[in-house]
Amino acid sequence: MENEQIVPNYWNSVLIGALTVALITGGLGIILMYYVAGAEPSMTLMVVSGLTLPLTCLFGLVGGIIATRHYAKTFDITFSIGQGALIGLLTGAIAAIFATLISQLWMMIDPALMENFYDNMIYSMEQIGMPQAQLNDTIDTMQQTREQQQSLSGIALGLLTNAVILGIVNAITGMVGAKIFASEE
Amino acid sequence: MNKTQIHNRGLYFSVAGASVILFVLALGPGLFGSTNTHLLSWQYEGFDLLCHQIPSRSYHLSGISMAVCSRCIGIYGAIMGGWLALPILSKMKITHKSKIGWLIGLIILNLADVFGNFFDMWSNTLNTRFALGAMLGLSVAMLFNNDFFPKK
Repeated sequence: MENEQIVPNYWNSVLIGALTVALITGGLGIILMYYVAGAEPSMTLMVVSGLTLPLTCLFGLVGGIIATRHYAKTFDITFSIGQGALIGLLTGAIAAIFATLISQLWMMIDPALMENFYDNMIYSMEQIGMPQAQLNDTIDTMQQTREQQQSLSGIALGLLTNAVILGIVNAITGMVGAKIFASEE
Repeated sequence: MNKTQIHNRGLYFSVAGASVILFVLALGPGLFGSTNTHLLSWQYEGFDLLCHQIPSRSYHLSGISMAVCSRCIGIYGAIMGGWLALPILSKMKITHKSKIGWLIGLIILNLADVFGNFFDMWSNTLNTRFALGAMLGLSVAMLFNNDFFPKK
């Protein structure tokens, strides 16, 4: 089989890309929760959270680019956009698994974090003078969300939807990475 | 009769389908007439690692905020639109270098917009964020304008 080409293993690159995305997205989420849980409840807290959050947008899609860049540079190869899409897809799906593991592990390490986070958010809403009926609705919604997110089915659904969506966006960025770092053009 | 030739047909149609699904999901529960408010819907959960999902920074559909902010919906919408329009866009002659230049330039422009707004240098709006996101999404789709539809 002289014509058979050996394709270098891309799993290291996939894991590096996935871990980076999981640490950035999961890590930023936890840091923000600590900030909200530890800060003095006030209007400023709500405003700062609202202003800081937009900075965290779109970090989740860098996995495909990181993985394809790492793969191309490590083996000094060119590859097709289809292979870039596959690497990105796997990176996104695995990043979702890592991010779920990180957040679940953290909730076991520090179970009081979630409690403090919700208490502080509710207290801040009271401080800004939210009407009682609206406040009650918000508290109910937060309670429901919390129960849903902590149930096994909630965790599984969250993992599945995150894996599908992160998989798709990282497949696209994987193609972009292949085009930039591994193209023959 | 002239038939349009497509290289790598499987990949083109897979990405086209995936980009449509991504865009539809990003529109959020309002599209399906759901009354599920923020955070309870699976669409919100699916995008929570990708977008801040702040309602005041998102468009609303049927009174319910979309699953992503206005910049992100611009990106996903333009990737989908640009990808579906690749048969037409493939007729444009743009060098590989300039396509990458546009992409990097638009990433920098979007980052500058985020930080300029953050440091109070200017105030962006839903529509300006959408427009900048859409330009970025289109530049992503344009990157592939020579890959699927060969020039005659």
